[in-house]
Amino acid sequence: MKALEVNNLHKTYRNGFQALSGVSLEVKQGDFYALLGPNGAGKSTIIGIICSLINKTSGQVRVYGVDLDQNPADARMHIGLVPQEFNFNIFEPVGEILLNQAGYYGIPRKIARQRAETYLKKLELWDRRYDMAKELSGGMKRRLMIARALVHEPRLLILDEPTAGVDIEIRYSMWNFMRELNASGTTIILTTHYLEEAESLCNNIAIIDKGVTIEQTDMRSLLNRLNLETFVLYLDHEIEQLPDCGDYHVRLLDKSTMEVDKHKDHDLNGLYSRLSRCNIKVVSMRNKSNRLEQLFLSMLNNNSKD
Amino acid sequence: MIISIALRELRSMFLSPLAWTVLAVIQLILAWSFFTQIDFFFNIQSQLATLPNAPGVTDLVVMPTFEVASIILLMVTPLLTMRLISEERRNGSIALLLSSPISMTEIVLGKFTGIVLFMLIFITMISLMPLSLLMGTELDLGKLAAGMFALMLLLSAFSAAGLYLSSLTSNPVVAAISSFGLLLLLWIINSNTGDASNTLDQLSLLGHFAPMLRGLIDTADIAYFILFIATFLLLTIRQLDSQRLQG
Repeated sequence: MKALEVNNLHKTYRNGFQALSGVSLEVKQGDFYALLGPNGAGKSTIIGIICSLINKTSGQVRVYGVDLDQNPADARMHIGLVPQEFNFNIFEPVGEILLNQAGYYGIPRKIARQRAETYLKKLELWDRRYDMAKELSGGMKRRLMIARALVHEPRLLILDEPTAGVDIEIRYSMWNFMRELNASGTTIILTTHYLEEAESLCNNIAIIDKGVTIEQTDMRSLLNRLNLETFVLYLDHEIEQLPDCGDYHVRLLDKSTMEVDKHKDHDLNGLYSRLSRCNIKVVSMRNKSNRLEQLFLSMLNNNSKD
Repeated sequence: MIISIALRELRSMFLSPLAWTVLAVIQLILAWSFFTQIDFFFNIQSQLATLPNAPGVTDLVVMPTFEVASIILLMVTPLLTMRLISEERRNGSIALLLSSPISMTEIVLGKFTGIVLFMLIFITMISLMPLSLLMGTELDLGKLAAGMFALMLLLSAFSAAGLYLSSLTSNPVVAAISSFGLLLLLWIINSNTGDASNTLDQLSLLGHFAPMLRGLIDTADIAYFILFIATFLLLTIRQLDSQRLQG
Protein backbone atom coordinates (compact mmCIF):
# COMPACT_ATOMS: atom_id res chain seq x y z
CA MET A 1 0.00 0.00 0.00
CA LYS A 2 1.15 3.52 -0.78
CA ALA A 3 1.46 5.88 2.16
CA LEU A 4 0.62 8.83 -0.05
CA GLU A 5 -0.67 9.16 -3.58
CA VAL A 6 -1.01 12.58 -5.10
CA ASN A 7 -2.45 12.62 -8.62
CA ASN A 8 -2.49 15.56 -10.97
CA LEU A 9 -2.82 18.15 -8.23
CA HIS A 10 -3.71 21.66 -9.30
CA LYS A 11 -4.07 24.74 -7.18
CA THR A 12 -4.95 28.17 -8.44
CA TYR A 13 -5.38 30.84 -5.80
CA ARG A 14 -8.17 33.38 -5.92
CA ASN A 15 -5.80 36.05 -7.24
CA GLY A 16 -5.12 33.84 -10.26
CA PHE A 17 -1.71 32.62 -9.13
CA GLN A 18 -1.22 29.01 -10.19
CA ALA A 19 0.78 27.39 -7.41
CA LEU A 20 0.48 23.81 -8.65
CA SER A 21 0.05 22.67 -12.23
CA GLY A 22 -0.45 18.92 -12.09
CA VAL A 23 1.82 17.58 -9.38
CA SER A 24 1.86 13.82 -8.91
CA LEU A 25 3.73 12.02 -6.14
CA GLU A 26 3.89 8.51 -4.78
CA VAL A 27 5.33 7.78 -1.37
CA LYS A 28 5.76 4.16 -0.39
CA GLN A 29 4.87 2.88 3.06
CA GLY A 30 7.88 3.14 5.36
CA ASP A 31 9.69 5.50 3.01
CA PHE A 32 11.86 8.46 4.03
CA TYR A 33 10.94 10.86 1.27
CA ALA A 34 12.47 14.22 0.43
CA LEU A 35 10.29 16.90 -1.10
CA LEU A 36 12.66 19.54 -2.38
CA GLY A 37 12.33 22.72 -4.35
CA PRO A 38 13.31 26.35 -4.28
CA ASN A 39 11.27 28.93 -2.36
CA GLY A 40 7.88 29.42 -4.02
CA ALA A 41 8.06 26.09 -5.87
CA GLY A 42 4.79 24.87 -4.36
CA LYS A 43 6.04 22.57 -1.57
CA SER A 44 4.06 24.33 1.15
CA THR A 45 0.94 24.30 -1.01
CA ILE A 46 1.28 20.54 -1.51
CA ILE A 47 1.75 20.01 2.24
CA GLY A 48 -1.15 22.38 2.94
CA ILE A 49 -3.44 20.38 0.66
CA ILE A 50 -2.34 17.02 2.09
CA CYS A 51 -2.99 18.33 5.62
CA SER A 52 -6.35 19.93 4.70
CA LEU A 53 -5.11 23.45 5.39
CA ILE A 54 -5.69 24.46 1.79
CA ASN A 55 -8.37 23.26 -0.60
CA LYS A 56 -7.13 22.02 -3.93
CA THR A 57 -8.50 23.20 -7.26
CA SER A 58 -8.41 19.70 -8.72
CA GLY A 59 -6.61 16.40 -8.40
CA GLN A 60 -6.68 13.55 -5.94
CA VAL A 61 -4.93 12.87 -2.64
CA ARG A 62 -5.00 9.47 -0.96
CA VAL A 63 -3.38 8.82 2.40
CA TYR A 64 -2.89 5.11 3.12
CA GLY A 65 -5.61 4.42 0.57
CA VAL A 66 -8.08 6.85 2.13
CA ASP A 67 -9.34 9.53 -0.22
CA LEU A 68 -8.99 12.97 1.31
CA ASP A 69 -12.22 14.17 -0.32
CA GLN A 70 -14.34 11.19 0.58
CA ASN A 71 -13.11 10.59 4.10
CA PRO A 72 -11.12 13.59 5.31
CA ALA A 73 -11.27 12.74 9.01
CA ASP A 74 -9.85 9.23 8.46
CA ALA A 75 -7.14 10.55 6.14
CA ARG A 76 -6.11 13.20 8.68
CA MET A 77 -5.87 10.57 11.43
CA HIS A 78 -2.89 9.10 9.55
CA ILE A 79 -1.01 12.38 9.24
CA GLY A 80 1.26 14.19 11.67
CA LEU A 81 2.48 17.62 10.67
CA VAL A 82 5.54 19.47 11.95
CA PRO A 83 5.22 22.92 10.45
CA GLN A 84 8.11 25.24 9.78
CA GLU A 85 6.98 27.97 12.18
CA PHE A 86 6.55 27.47 15.91
CA ASN A 87 2.82 27.37 16.43
CA PHE A 88 1.84 26.74 20.00
CA ASN A 89 0.47 28.82 22.83
CA ILE A 90 3.64 30.05 24.48
CA PHE A 91 1.92 30.22 27.87
CA GLU A 92 0.96 26.53 27.74
CA PRO A 93 3.12 24.02 29.63
CA VAL A 94 4.99 21.55 27.44
CA GLY A 95 3.07 18.52 28.73
CA GLU A 96 -0.29 20.22 28.22
CA ILE A 97 0.54 21.00 24.60
CA LEU A 98 0.87 17.29 23.90
CA LEU A 99 -2.22 16.34 25.89
CA ASN A 100 -4.33 18.91 24.07
CA GLN A 101 -3.09 17.72 20.72
CA ALA A 102 -3.99 14.14 21.68
CA GLY A 103 -7.47 15.38 22.61
CA TYR A 104 -8.01 16.60 19.05
CA TYR A 105 -7.50 13.03 17.88
CA GLY A 106 -9.88 11.54 20.42
CA ILE A 107 -7.12 9.84 22.43
CA PRO A 108 -8.19 9.18 26.03
CA ARG A 109 -6.36 11.28 28.61
CA LYS A 110 -4.69 8.27 30.28
CA ILE A 111 -3.17 7.00 27.03
CA ALA A 112 -2.26 10.53 26.02
CA ARG A 113 -0.28 10.95 29.25
CA GLN A 114 1.66 7.74 28.57
CA ARG A 115 2.43 8.80 25.02
CA ALA A 116 3.39 12.30 26.08
CA GLU A 117 5.84 10.79 28.55
CA THR A 118 7.28 8.45 25.90
CA TYR A 119 7.85 11.14 23.28
CA LEU A 120 8.99 13.83 25.68
CA LYS A 121 11.55 11.41 27.07
CA LYS A 122 12.70 10.37 23.59
CA LEU A 123 13.12 13.99 22.61
CA GLU A 124 14.78 14.92 25.91
CA LEU A 125 12.04 17.28 27.03
CA TRP A 126 10.61 15.28 29.91
CA ASP A 127 12.40 17.38 32.51
CA ARG A 128 10.80 20.49 31.03
CA ARG A 129 7.23 19.15 30.94
CA TYR A 130 5.88 21.67 33.44
CA ASP A 131 7.66 24.64 31.88
CA MET A 132 5.84 27.07 29.65
CA ALA A 133 6.72 26.72 25.97
CA LYS A 134 8.12 30.26 25.91
CA GLU A 135 10.84 29.19 28.34
CA LEU A 136 12.29 26.63 25.90
CA SER A 137 15.25 27.26 23.63
CA GLY A 138 14.85 27.21 19.83
CA GLY A 139 16.06 23.61 19.55
CA MET A 140 13.74 22.47 22.34
CA LYS A 141 10.80 24.16 20.65
CA ARG A 142 11.61 22.27 17.43
CA ARG A 143 11.69 18.99 19.35
CA LEU A 144 8.43 19.90 21.06
CA MET A 145 6.82 20.36 17.65
CA ILE A 146 7.96 16.86 16.67
CA ALA A 147 6.75 15.33 19.94
CA ARG A 148 3.39 17.03 19.48
CA ALA A 149 3.04 15.70 15.93
CA LEU A 150 3.78 12.17 17.16
CA VAL A 151 1.40 12.03 20.09
CA HIS A 152 -1.41 10.52 17.99
CA GLU A 153 1.13 8.12 16.46
CA PRO A 154 0.60 9.01 12.81
CA ARG A 155 1.66 6.59 10.08
CA LEU A 156 2.75 9.49 7.88
CA LEU A 157 4.83 12.27 9.38
CA ILE A 158 5.38 15.45 7.39
CA LEU A 159 8.37 17.48 8.51
CA ASP A 160 8.57 20.96 7.05
CA GLU A 161 12.14 22.11 7.60
CA PRO A 162 12.39 20.50 11.04
CA THR A 163 16.00 21.46 11.66
CA ALA A 164 15.88 25.09 10.50
CA GLY A 165 17.80 27.26 12.95
CA VAL A 166 18.93 24.32 15.06
CA ASP A 167 22.56 23.94 16.14
CA ILE A 168 24.63 21.12 14.71
CA GLU A 169 24.55 18.91 17.81
CA ILE A 170 20.77 19.00 18.09
CA ARG A 171 20.46 18.58 14.35
CA TYR A 172 22.41 15.31 14.48
CA SER A 173 20.40 14.05 17.43
CA MET A 174 17.21 14.92 15.55
CA TRP A 175 18.49 13.06 12.49
CA ASN A 176 19.08 9.99 14.63
CA PHE A 177 15.61 10.28 16.11
CA MET A 178 14.06 10.59 12.64
CA ARG A 179 16.00 7.56 11.44
CA GLU A 180 14.78 5.54 14.44
CA LEU A 181 11.23 6.69 13.82
CA ASN A 182 11.44 5.70 10.16
CA ALA A 183 12.98 2.37 11.08
CA SER A 184 10.03 1.71 13.40
CA GLY A 185 7.69 1.99 10.40
CA THR A 186 6.65 5.63 10.25
CA THR A 187 6.67 7.04 6.73
CA ILE A 188 8.36 10.42 6.69
CA ILE A 189 8.15 13.24 4.17
CA LEU A 190 10.84 15.83 4.68
CA THR A 191 11.17 19.25 3.15
CA THR A 192 14.43 20.99 3.80
CA HIS A 193 16.82 23.53 2.38
CA TYR A 194 19.76 21.58 3.83
CA LEU A 195 20.38 19.21 0.96
CA GLU A 196 22.96 17.20 2.85
CA GLU A 197 20.15 16.46 5.30
CA ALA A 198 17.97 15.09 2.50
CA GLU A 199 20.90 13.14 1.05
CA SER A 200 21.80 11.68 4.40
CA LEU A 201 18.28 10.72 5.51
CA CYS A 202 16.06 10.08 2.52
CA ASN A 203 15.66 7.07 0.25
CA ASN A 204 13.46 8.71 -2.36
CA ILE A 205 13.13 12.21 -3.60
CA ALA A 206 10.86 14.55 -5.55
CA ILE A 207 11.97 17.92 -6.82
CA ILE A 208 9.26 20.50 -7.38
CA ASP A 209 9.75 23.69 -9.33
CA LYS A 210 7.17 26.23 -10.53
CA GLY A 211 4.32 23.98 -9.44
CA VAL A 212 5.38 20.86 -11.33
CA THR A 213 7.35 17.75 -10.40
CA ILE A 214 10.63 17.95 -12.30
CA GLU A 215 12.07 14.79 -10.79
CA GLN A 216 10.83 11.84 -8.75
CA THR A 217 13.19 8.97 -8.20
CA ASP A 218 15.25 7.15 -5.60
CA MET A 219 18.19 8.97 -4.08
CA ARG A 220 20.84 6.51 -5.27
CA SER A 221 19.92 6.67 -8.96
CA LEU A 222 19.63 10.42 -8.75
CA LEU A 223 23.11 10.74 -7.29
CA ASN A 224 24.43 8.32 -9.92
CA ARG A 225 23.49 10.85 -12.54
CA LEU A 226 26.21 13.12 -11.32
CA ASN A 227 28.87 12.81 -14.05
CA LEU A 228 31.55 14.80 -12.38
CA GLU A 229 32.45 15.10 -8.72
CA THR A 230 35.06 17.39 -7.28
CA PHE A 231 37.10 16.31 -4.26
CA VAL A 232 39.44 18.31 -2.10
CA LEU A 233 42.50 16.34 -0.95
CA TYR A 234 44.62 17.35 2.02
CA LEU A 235 48.25 16.28 1.69
CA ASP A 236 50.67 15.30 4.43
CA HIS A 237 53.36 17.74 3.28
CA GLU A 238 53.72 20.76 1.08
CA ILE A 239 54.49 20.34 -2.62
CA GLU A 240 55.70 22.95 -5.08
CA GLN A 241 54.46 21.38 -8.31
CA LEU A 242 51.60 19.20 -9.36
CA PRO A 243 52.62 15.60 -9.98
CA ASP A 244 51.64 13.84 -13.18
CA CYS A 245 48.12 12.56 -12.56
CA GLY A 246 47.31 11.21 -16.00
CA ASP A 247 43.61 11.43 -16.91
CA TYR A 248 42.71 13.03 -13.60
CA HIS A 249 42.18 16.75 -13.76
CA VAL A 250 43.88 18.18 -10.68
CA ARG A 251 44.56 21.69 -9.40
CA LEU A 252 46.69 22.89 -6.53
CA LEU A 253 44.69 25.11 -4.19
CA ASP A 254 47.67 25.77 -1.94
CA LYS A 255 50.87 23.91 -1.27
CA SER A 256 49.21 21.16 0.74
CA THR A 257 45.70 21.10 -0.75
CA MET A 258 44.69 19.65 -4.09
CA GLU A 259 41.39 19.63 -5.94
CA VAL A 260 40.51 16.78 -8.28
CA ASP A 261 37.63 16.35 -10.73
CA LYS A 262 36.49 12.74 -10.92
CA HIS A 263 34.29 11.45 -13.71
CA LYS A 264 31.70 8.92 -12.57
CA ASP A 265 33.37 6.16 -14.67
CA HIS A 266 36.67 6.60 -12.87
CA ASP A 267 37.66 5.71 -9.33
CA LEU A 268 40.08 7.40 -6.99
CA ASN A 269 42.42 4.40 -6.57
CA GLY A 270 44.35 5.29 -9.72
CA LEU A 271 44.93 8.79 -8.46
CA TYR A 272 46.10 7.51 -5.08
CA SER A 273 48.57 5.16 -6.80
CA ARG A 274 50.01 7.98 -8.86
CA LEU A 275 50.32 10.21 -5.80
CA SER A 276 51.98 7.41 -3.80
CA ARG A 277 54.51 6.93 -6.55
CA CYS A 278 55.42 10.59 -6.17
CA ASN A 279 55.67 10.06 -2.40
CA ILE A 280 52.61 12.22 -1.74
CA LYS A 281 50.26 10.99 0.96
CA VAL A 282 46.64 12.06 1.27
CA VAL A 283 45.71 12.53 4.92
CA SER A 284 42.06 13.40 4.37
CA MET A 285 39.56 14.34 1.72
CA ARG A 286 36.07 15.77 1.26
CA ASN A 287 33.54 16.49 -1.45
CA LYS A 288 33.99 20.07 -2.60
CA SER A 289 30.21 20.58 -2.59
CA ASN A 290 27.22 18.47 -1.70
CA ARG A 291 26.39 16.07 -4.51
CA LEU A 292 22.67 16.53 -4.24
CA GLU A 293 23.17 20.28 -4.22
CA GLN A 294 24.99 20.10 -7.58
CA LEU A 295 22.25 17.99 -9.13
CA PHE A 296 19.51 20.12 -7.61
CA LEU A 297 20.95 23.31 -9.04
CA SER A 298 21.53 21.82 -12.47
CA MET A 299 17.95 20.50 -12.58
CA LEU A 300 16.54 23.86 -11.60
CA ASN A 301 18.69 25.54 -14.25
CA ASN A 302 17.47 23.11 -16.90
CA ASN A 303 13.87 23.68 -15.82
CA SER A 304 14.32 27.46 -16.09
CA LYS A 305 15.70 27.09 -19.63
CA ASP A 306 12.73 24.89 -20.59
CA MET B 1 -13.96 16.32 20.41
CA ILE B 2 -16.09 19.35 21.25
CA ILE B 3 -15.42 18.79 24.93
CA SER B 4 -11.67 18.40 24.28
CA ILE B 5 -11.55 21.73 22.47
CA ALA B 6 -13.78 23.37 25.08
CA LEU B 7 -11.61 22.21 27.97
CA ARG B 8 -8.47 23.25 26.14
CA GLU B 9 -9.95 26.70 25.58
CA LEU B 10 -10.93 26.97 29.21
CA ARG B 11 -7.48 25.90 30.39
CA SER B 12 -5.68 28.17 27.98
CA MET B 13 -7.78 31.11 29.15
CA PHE B 14 -6.52 30.61 32.67
CA LEU B 15 -2.94 30.26 31.43
CA SER B 16 -2.85 33.89 30.33
CA PRO B 17 -3.03 36.68 32.90
CA LEU B 18 -5.94 38.28 31.02
CA ALA B 19 -8.66 35.94 32.31
CA TRP B 20 -7.49 36.23 35.91
CA THR B 21 -7.30 40.01 35.67
CA VAL B 22 -10.74 40.25 34.09
CA LEU B 23 -12.27 37.96 36.71
CA ALA B 24 -10.67 39.89 39.55
CA VAL B 25 -11.53 43.36 38.25
CA ILE B 26 -15.14 42.47 37.45
CA GLN B 27 -15.61 40.79 40.78
CA LEU B 28 -14.26 43.88 42.52
CA ILE B 29 -16.52 46.27 40.59
CA LEU B 30 -19.58 44.07 41.09
CA ALA B 31 -18.84 43.64 44.78
CA TRP B 32 -18.72 47.41 45.14
CA SER B 33 -21.97 47.74 43.16
CA PHE B 34 -23.58 45.00 45.26
CA PHE B 35 -22.69 46.72 48.52
CA THR B 36 -23.98 50.04 47.15
CA GLN B 37 -27.30 48.36 46.32
CA ILE B 38 -27.50 46.86 49.80
CA ASP B 39 -26.78 50.24 51.33
CA PHE B 40 -29.48 51.80 49.15
CA PHE B 41 -31.90 49.05 50.19
CA PHE B 42 -31.20 49.70 53.90
CA ASN B 43 -31.81 53.40 53.38
CA ILE B 44 -35.22 52.96 51.80
CA GLN B 45 -36.28 49.89 53.79
CA SER B 46 -38.45 51.90 56.20
CA GLN B 47 -40.31 53.56 53.30
CA LEU B 48 -40.78 50.22 51.57
CA ALA B 49 -42.43 48.80 54.67
CA THR B 50 -45.33 51.24 54.21
CA LEU B 51 -45.96 50.24 50.57
CA PRO B 52 -48.31 47.47 49.48
CA ASN B 53 -46.58 44.94 47.15
CA ALA B 54 -43.29 46.68 47.73
CA PRO B 55 -40.30 45.40 45.74
CA GLY B 56 -38.12 43.07 47.75
CA VAL B 57 -34.39 42.57 48.10
CA THR B 58 -34.30 40.51 44.88
CA ASP B 59 -35.70 43.42 42.85
CA LEU B 60 -33.68 46.12 44.55
CA VAL B 61 -30.34 44.42 45.10
CA VAL B 62 -30.01 41.30 42.98
CA MET B 63 -31.48 42.51 39.67
CA PRO B 64 -29.52 45.79 39.61
CA THR B 65 -26.35 43.81 40.30
CA PHE B 66 -27.11 41.58 37.31
CA GLU B 67 -27.86 44.67 35.22
CA VAL B 68 -24.50 46.18 36.10
CA ALA B 69 -22.87 42.82 35.35
CA SER B 70 -24.47 42.70 31.90
CA ILE B 71 -23.15 46.17 31.01
CA ILE B 72 -19.64 45.42 32.29
CA LEU B 73 -19.59 42.12 30.45
CA LEU B 74 -20.67 43.83 27.25
CA MET B 75 -17.38 45.68 27.46
CA VAL B 76 -15.30 42.78 28.75
CA THR B 77 -16.54 39.82 26.66
CA PRO B 78 -14.81 41.12 23.49
CA LEU B 79 -11.52 41.01 25.41
CA LEU B 80 -12.10 37.34 26.13
CA THR B 81 -13.39 36.34 22.70
CA MET B 82 -10.85 38.33 20.67
CA ARG B 83 -8.19 35.66 20.94
CA LEU B 84 -10.41 32.64 20.24
CA ILE B 85 -9.64 32.35 16.53
CA SER B 86 -7.63 35.44 15.61
CA GLU B 87 -4.80 34.52 17.97
CA GLU B 88 -4.82 30.93 16.75
CA ARG B 89 -4.46 32.29 13.25
CA ARG B 90 -1.76 34.75 14.24
CA ASN B 91 0.41 32.15 15.95
CA GLY B 92 -0.37 29.47 13.36
CA SER B 93 -1.95 27.00 15.78
CA ILE B 94 -5.17 27.06 13.74
CA ALA B 95 -3.27 24.66 11.43
CA LEU B 96 -3.33 22.03 14.19
CA LEU B 97 -7.10 22.19 14.41
CA LEU B 98 -7.64 22.24 10.66
CA SER B 99 -5.30 19.30 10.05
CA SER B 100 -6.83 17.19 12.82
CA PRO B 101 -9.82 14.91 12.21
CA ILE B 102 -12.16 17.46 13.79
CA SER B 103 -14.83 19.06 11.63
CA MET B 104 -15.16 22.81 11.35
CA THR B 105 -18.46 22.62 13.21
CA GLU B 106 -16.81 20.80 16.10
CA ILE B 107 -14.00 23.37 16.20
CA VAL B 108 -16.44 26.28 16.38
CA LEU B 109 -18.77 24.55 18.84
CA GLY B 110 -15.80 23.54 20.99
CA LYS B 111 -14.49 27.07 21.16
CA PHE B 112 -17.95 28.42 21.85
CA THR B 113 -18.52 25.85 24.60
CA GLY B 114 -15.16 26.77 26.13
CA ILE B 115 -16.01 30.44 26.39
CA VAL B 116 -19.52 29.66 27.63
CA LEU B 117 -18.01 27.50 30.38
CA PHE B 118 -15.85 30.46 31.33
CA MET B 119 -18.95 32.66 31.40
CA LEU B 120 -20.63 30.06 33.59
CA ILE B 121 -17.82 30.52 36.11
CA PHE B 122 -18.46 34.25 35.90
CA ILE B 123 -22.17 33.88 36.52
CA THR B 124 -21.56 31.48 39.41
CA MET B 125 -19.19 33.98 41.02
CA ILE B 126 -21.60 36.85 40.47
CA SER B 127 -24.51 34.82 41.81
CA LEU B 128 -22.64 33.90 44.98
CA MET B 129 -23.04 37.49 46.16
CA PRO B 130 -26.87 37.55 46.05
CA LEU B 131 -26.99 33.97 47.35
CA SER B 132 -25.04 35.08 50.40
CA LEU B 133 -28.07 37.21 51.30
CA LEU B 134 -29.95 33.98 52.02
CA MET B 135 -28.13 33.87 55.33
CA GLY B 136 -30.00 36.99 56.47
CA THR B 137 -33.12 37.30 54.36
CA GLU B 138 -35.37 35.59 51.88
CA LEU B 139 -34.84 35.84 48.15
CA ASP B 140 -37.22 35.27 45.26
CA LEU B 141 -35.33 32.25 43.96
CA GLY B 142 -37.47 32.08 40.82
CA LYS B 143 -36.48 35.61 39.86
CA LEU B 144 -32.88 34.89 40.78
CA ALA B 145 -32.89 31.81 38.53
CA ALA B 146 -34.53 33.80 35.73
CA GLY B 147 -31.84 36.48 36.10
CA MET B 148 -29.06 33.91 35.96
CA PHE B 149 -30.67 32.27 32.94
CA ALA B 150 -31.03 35.65 31.20
CA LEU B 151 -27.41 36.50 31.95
CA MET B 152 -26.32 33.11 30.63
CA LEU B 153 -28.19 33.61 27.35
CA LEU B 154 -26.89 37.15 27.02
CA LEU B 155 -23.27 36.17 27.61
CA SER B 156 -23.62 33.25 25.20
CA ALA B 157 -24.89 35.70 22.59
CA PHE B 158 -21.99 38.06 23.31
CA SER B 159 -19.59 35.12 22.97
CA ALA B 160 -21.06 33.90 19.67
CA ALA B 161 -20.80 37.38 18.14
CA GLY B 162 -17.26 37.80 19.53
CA LEU B 163 -16.26 34.40 18.15
CA TYR B 164 -17.47 35.36 14.68
CA LEU B 165 -15.63 38.67 14.67
CA SER B 166 -12.52 36.88 15.94
CA SER B 167 -12.70 34.64 12.85
CA LEU B 168 -12.61 37.66 10.53
CA THR B 169 -9.17 38.93 11.45
CA SER B 170 -5.77 37.79 12.66
CA ASN B 171 -5.47 40.87 14.84
CA PRO B 172 -7.05 40.30 18.28
CA VAL B 173 -7.33 44.02 19.00
CA VAL B 174 -9.32 44.60 15.82
CA ALA B 175 -11.52 41.63 16.79
CA ALA B 176 -12.11 43.09 20.27
CA ILE B 177 -12.96 46.59 19.06
CA SER B 178 -15.29 45.38 16.31
CA SER B 179 -17.02 42.96 18.74
CA PHE B 180 -17.53 45.75 21.23
CA GLY B 181 -18.89 48.03 18.50
CA LEU B 182 -21.34 45.39 17.26
CA LEU B 183 -22.57 44.45 20.73
CA LEU B 184 -22.96 48.08 21.79
CA LEU B 185 -24.92 48.80 18.61
CA LEU B 186 -27.22 45.84 19.24
CA TRP B 187 -27.59 46.93 22.87
CA ILE B 188 -28.67 50.50 22.15
CA ILE B 189 -30.27 49.99 18.76
CA ASN B 190 -33.78 50.61 20.11
CA SER B 191 -32.88 53.46 22.44
CA ASN B 192 -35.03 56.02 20.59
CA THR B 193 -37.98 53.87 19.55
CA GLY B 194 -40.01 53.13 22.67
CA ASP B 195 -42.31 50.94 20.59
CA ALA B 196 -42.01 47.24 21.44
CA SER B 197 -43.29 46.17 18.02
CA ASN B 198 -40.65 48.19 16.23
CA THR B 199 -38.15 46.14 14.17
CA LEU B 200 -35.19 47.77 15.88
CA ASP B 201 -36.67 46.80 19.24
CA GLN B 202 -36.95 43.22 18.04
CA LEU B 203 -33.26 43.28 17.15
CA SER B 204 -32.16 44.77 20.42
CA LEU B 205 -30.27 42.60 22.88
CA LEU B 206 -31.46 44.75 25.77
CA GLY B 207 -35.06 44.51 24.59
CA HIS B 208 -34.98 40.73 25.03
CA PHE B 209 -32.73 40.63 28.07
CA ALA B 210 -34.53 43.14 30.30
CA PRO B 211 -37.88 41.29 30.57
CA MET B 212 -36.12 38.03 31.46
CA LEU B 213 -34.09 39.79 34.09
CA ARG B 214 -37.35 40.93 35.67
CA GLY B 215 -38.43 37.30 35.82
CA LEU B 216 -40.57 37.29 32.69
CA ILE B 217 -39.43 34.28 30.68
CA ASP B 218 -40.91 34.57 27.20
CA THR B 219 -40.24 31.91 24.55
CA ALA B 220 -39.87 34.70 21.98
CA ASP B 221 -36.94 36.11 23.95
CA ILE B 222 -35.37 32.67 24.32
CA ALA B 223 -35.86 32.03 20.59
CA TYR B 224 -34.22 35.38 19.84
CA PHE B 225 -31.10 34.47 21.79
CA ILE B 226 -30.95 30.96 20.34
CA LEU B 227 -31.29 32.33 16.81
CA PHE B 228 -28.73 35.03 17.54
CA ILE B 229 -26.22 32.46 18.80
CA ALA B 230 -26.92 29.97 15.98
CA THR B 231 -26.57 32.68 13.33
CA PHE B 232 -23.16 33.81 14.53
CA LEU B 233 -21.92 30.26 15.00
CA LEU B 234 -22.98 29.37 11.45
CA LEU B 235 -21.34 32.51 10.14
CA THR B 236 -18.13 31.53 11.94
CA ILE B 237 -18.18 28.04 10.43
CA ARG B 238 -18.74 29.51 6.96
CA GLN B 239 -16.00 32.06 7.48
CA LEU B 240 -13.43 29.44 8.49
CA ASP B 241 -14.48 27.21 5.61
CA SER B 242 -14.11 30.02 3.12
CA GLN B 243 -10.64 30.81 4.47
CA ARG B 244 -9.60 27.21 3.92
CA LEU B 245 -10.96 27.46 0.37
CA GLN B 246 -8.85 30.54 -0.24
CA GLY B 247 -5.87 28.70 1.19
